[in-house]
Amino acid sequence: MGTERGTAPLVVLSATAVPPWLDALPAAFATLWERAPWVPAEDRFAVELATTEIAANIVRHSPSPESVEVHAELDADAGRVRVTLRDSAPAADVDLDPGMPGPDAESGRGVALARSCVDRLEHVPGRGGGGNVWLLERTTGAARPVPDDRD
Amino acid sequence: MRLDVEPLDGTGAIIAPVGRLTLTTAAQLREAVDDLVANGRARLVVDLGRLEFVDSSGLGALVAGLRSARAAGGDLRLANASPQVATVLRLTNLDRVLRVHEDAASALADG
Repeated sequence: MGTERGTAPLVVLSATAVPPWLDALPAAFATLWERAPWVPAEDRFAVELATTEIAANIVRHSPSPESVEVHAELDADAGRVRVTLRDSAPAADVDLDPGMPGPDAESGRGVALARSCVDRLEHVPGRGGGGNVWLLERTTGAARPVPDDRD
Repeated sequence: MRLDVEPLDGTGAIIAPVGRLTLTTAAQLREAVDDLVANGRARLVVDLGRLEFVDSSGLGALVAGLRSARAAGGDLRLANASPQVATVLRLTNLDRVLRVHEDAASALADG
C-alpha cells in the first residue's frame, strides 16, 4: 500500500495557501501516521515540523495567498518519509541552507529549522515555469544512520 | 490554541499555551505577553506542559516576549517542556537564552 515507488502517495491534500491550510496539516499527518504506523515518533515530529515551516513560508511569501493553490503529498515507506509540496505562487528565490539566526532574532529560523529536521530539502521551479515544488525527505527508524544533530 | 493565564502575586504571571503555537496562533501569545507587561506583570513563566507543537513563529513570539519582559525589568522563563519542544529549542540555539526549568515554581525561584 503506497510503499513502492510509483504508487499513489498515502495522503494528498489540496487547498488554497491561506492560514487555514496550515491548520489542516496536523490532521493530514495524523492520517499519514495511521497509514504508516511504523514510523517512529521522533521522525514523525521532525517531518511535521519541517513541513509546517515550508508550508508557512509559502503562505507568508505568496503575494496574494488566496489565489495560490497548494497541493501536498505525504508518503512513507519502510525507510523514509517523503513530503512534496507544490504551489502555484511565483517562483521563489530562497536560500535552503541559511545559518541559524542568533538567539535574539524574532524571525528567520523557519528554513534553517526545516533543514535540520530532514535529510533532503529541495526546491525546484514548477513544470512549465509556474509555481514551485518543495521536496522534503527524512530517513526514518532503523534506516537512520546516526542521530541527525546538524545545527 | 488556548492560553491559560494565571496572575501571580503583584508582578508575575504564568502563561500556559494549550495546543499548537504556530504562525496562526503566535500573535495571541505576543498580545498576551504585551498586555501583562503593560499591566505591570513582567515576571513571566511560560508553562509548556500542554503545548503540543511549536514552530519558528511560535519561537519568535517567545523571543519577543523575553525581550519585552526584560525591557520592563522582568524576565520570561520556560517550564515543563516536552522532549520535542526541548529539541526545537536546542536545534535553534534558543536554549541558550530561554532556559527550561522543571516547573513554574523553580522557574520563578531561579535567580
